[in-house]
Amino acid sequence: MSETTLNANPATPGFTFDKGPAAITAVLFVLVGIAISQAVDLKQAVLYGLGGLLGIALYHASFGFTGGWRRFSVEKRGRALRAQLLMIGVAAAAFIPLLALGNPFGGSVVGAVAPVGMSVLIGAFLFGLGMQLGGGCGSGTLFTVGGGSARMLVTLVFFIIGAVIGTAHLPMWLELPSLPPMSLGREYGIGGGLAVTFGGLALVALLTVFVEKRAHGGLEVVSTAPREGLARFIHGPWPMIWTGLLLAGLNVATLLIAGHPWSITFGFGLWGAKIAQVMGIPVETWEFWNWAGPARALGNSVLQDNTSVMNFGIVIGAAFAAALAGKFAPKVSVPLASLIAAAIGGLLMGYGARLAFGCNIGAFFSGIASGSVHGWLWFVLAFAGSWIGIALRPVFGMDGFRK
Amino acid sequence: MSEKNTLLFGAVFLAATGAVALDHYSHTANIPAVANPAPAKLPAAGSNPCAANPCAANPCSANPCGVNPCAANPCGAGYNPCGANPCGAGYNPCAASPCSANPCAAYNPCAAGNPCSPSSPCGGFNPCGVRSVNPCAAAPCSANPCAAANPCAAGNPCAAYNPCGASPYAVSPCAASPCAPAASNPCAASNPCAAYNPCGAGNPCAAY
Repeated sequence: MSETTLNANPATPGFTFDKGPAAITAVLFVLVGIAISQAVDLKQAVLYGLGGLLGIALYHASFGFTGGWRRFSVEKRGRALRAQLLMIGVAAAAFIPLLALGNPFGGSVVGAVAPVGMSVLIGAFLFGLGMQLGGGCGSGTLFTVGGGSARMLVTLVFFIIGAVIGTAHLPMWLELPSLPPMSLGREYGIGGGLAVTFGGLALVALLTVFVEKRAHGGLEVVSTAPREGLARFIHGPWPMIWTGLLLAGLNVATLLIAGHPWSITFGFGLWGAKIAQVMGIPVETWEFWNWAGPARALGNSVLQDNTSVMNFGIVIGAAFAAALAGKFAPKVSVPLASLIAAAIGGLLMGYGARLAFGCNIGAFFSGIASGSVHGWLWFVLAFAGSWIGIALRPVFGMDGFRK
Repeated sequence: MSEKNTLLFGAVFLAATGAVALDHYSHTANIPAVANPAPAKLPAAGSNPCAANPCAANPCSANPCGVNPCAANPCGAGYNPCGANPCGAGYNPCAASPCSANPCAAYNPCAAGNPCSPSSPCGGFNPCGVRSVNPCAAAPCSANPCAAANPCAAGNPCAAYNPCGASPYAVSPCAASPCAPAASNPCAASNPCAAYNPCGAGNPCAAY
């Protein structure tokens, strides 16, 4: 639920949609998929298709992290946060055994497991702060851009800039103290890893229940959807819990097909580095871009980068969903202060995601689901940063702790 | 949908499409429009990192190099642990930066607990065993046929048993079936995997 998330509860339950944008985005989605399959291979096109499904699901459920965290922090309502925790738990139930036993369909799989150190601490805090100013997290930025939010275009541009700057500084940050990557599945075995992960997620969920009941006397009652059946499926809004389960399934599919979990922000850094090269900035001499994986990505076509094609799919998929919902591109004019917040937020998120080995998807969702300790650390620090970000929002004319 | 927004997003879409097409064309047509010299830490362009692979001649079907464990690795071809062994003394991609800096962290062969580490309890993990998956994967010992009686584990009743030596025993605790004859011992001299015995001192894969 990013700030620019478009109202998922239309006033009338009718079934109208933006026919022009829907047709254009549908044709576009297919054409891009064919182009990727021709330019790279079928597997890459399938990953793009997964991205498209992710975009549709994210948009139709307004499934973002920023709004959910802010709602819990400000209103003490934890429904969205619990949906996120459930999503991560379901993904972990598949990830931890798969990472331990290997891919049943052949090929290797690797989890989102990263070192636990100062760079994660600082990066996650900056990311959390930035996502409240930027109005969306990694996935939220993509699906709201797809939905036609002009403000989030600004956030995305500065997200990319921040990610590139992060690649310049990451080696320096990694000189600071750090523990090696720690995987709960590896430390405690499959059963132990699952038990610790589920236990941790359940503990946080219980905490949100406790806080919500204490503040409101009971848990939030989900309002009835304005439409049901096929109309709701096509037009939205989708139920948050089921969408979370769908997202978990799509992340597992990503792990099996790509060999690694769903991630977003590496693509932003890559796009920015390629643009920087065109502008004459020698990013290829930077240490980060000489590490094997980044060097290969920089030297290859962007269409060969799994993360990038999935990001393309998310944007176009969300655009299609927005057109079906009849809410594509709601407005252009955005207050200057809000644009400045978007720029600062984007920069902080891009920089923070690089330092923290991922965003809300790559580090929080995929990290914890992979059993990585860095995912938990990311969660705690990003939530703290988010808290500060909410407090700073009124400076830019946005709502904060006081409405 | 406003006209201004249509124009804005149309322009952004066209610019993005053009940029992606240009990038793809420049990288597939070998047009040096963008200077991107080969990274210093990667093998020379065109060289097969497995060409000098000490595992190449490995007759073991479960050769970790057989199915390149790097195939789906974000570090891919340039990070083949069999080609230029990152654990070897001569080529450590982690040397220039701490291992924690490795973006391949999840697959970092330098990470703690990894089966390649000499100090790892999995250090003696036989890559010629039944496992067909990356020995550096998470919890590689979980599927290790020797896991139940890991001869490398401290305090293990098998600890004193040297699976690499001339076995004084008729059976090997490391065999897929502990009761199998010694001939199936992956460390036995007659074993086709003997040349790849990771426990052997002279084995080129010993450091892997």
